[in-house]
Amino acid sequence: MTTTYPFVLAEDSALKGFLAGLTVSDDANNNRPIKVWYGFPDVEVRDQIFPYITLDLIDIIAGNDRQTYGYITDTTNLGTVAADANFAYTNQIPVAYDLVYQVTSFARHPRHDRAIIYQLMNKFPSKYGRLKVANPSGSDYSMRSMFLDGFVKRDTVEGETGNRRLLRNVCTVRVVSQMTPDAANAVATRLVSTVQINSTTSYIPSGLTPVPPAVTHS
Amino acid sequence: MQTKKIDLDVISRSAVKELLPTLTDQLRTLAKTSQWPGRVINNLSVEATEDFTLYVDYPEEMSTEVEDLEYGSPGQIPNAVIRPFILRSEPTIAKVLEEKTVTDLFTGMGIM
Repeated sequence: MTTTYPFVLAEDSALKGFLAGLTVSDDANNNRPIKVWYGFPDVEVRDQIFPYITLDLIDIIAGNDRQTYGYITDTTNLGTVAADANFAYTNQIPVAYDLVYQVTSFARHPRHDRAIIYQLMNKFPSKYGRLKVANPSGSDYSMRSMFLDGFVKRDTVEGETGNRRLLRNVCTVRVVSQMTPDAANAVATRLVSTVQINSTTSYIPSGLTPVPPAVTHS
Repeated sequence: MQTKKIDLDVISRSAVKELLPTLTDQLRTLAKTSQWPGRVINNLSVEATEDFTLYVDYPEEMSTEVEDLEYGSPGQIPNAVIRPFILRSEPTIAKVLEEKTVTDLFTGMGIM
């Protein structure tokens, strides 16, 4: 069974899946897997087995430069149902967002490090990256543009890493996304529709005594 | 008819000069919101090169600390400020530069 998620969680899941299955090779192991974690692996919970990759969502920015407003009318309800020529669906145009991720690789072995760089550069090819993201119902998917906004080498060789070299690569990756009105409604606070002033409740929880009515001014 | 010479380079420099404190304030506010240490926040600023390229500046001796905060360090998740700031600063840059350059241009032409 495929698990599908709404806005943000869908991209998280897609990005993790996109990086899953990478391997490096060395003298001891020709097919050493690179694990992928959300955030830094907690040493108390998981073993820190090098090499590995972490994913951190570092920002969510409104995509105002490409935002349009209005309604989309189609026969497939945005690709979620089979087309029916006699039936039309109208949906509000989603709100555009950019999700900014930091993809960090950690390795002890320089050969692993270089192999990871090579694979990351292939996964995030400058402005031509694409990420397949499933829709919340899992019935369809969209290919999202991905941009490599930055690459930084942050190797450390002593001190904080216990005098062991730690080879780190930091990629800043921007994934184009959108929030649908349905997703917004699911998380937004329900609006107050009515306010009752001076009404007396008949519900008094057990053990509590109702407060006498307030004194009214003449 | 008398013509008035307007130095666009002077106008551009003046606009960028006015922009830098605004951007520095925004950068520091974002760093404060992200709970960066106060002494680091006070040393962050936005500067411009001679050819108007903007960049985030901080003292060399703080570079490891700033970069560890921004990108994370072993056992520490990233608490990014500079990258979100860069991605969010475009509307401010456009607004301040447009307003200042247009005002200075019109003032120089004697319209305002």
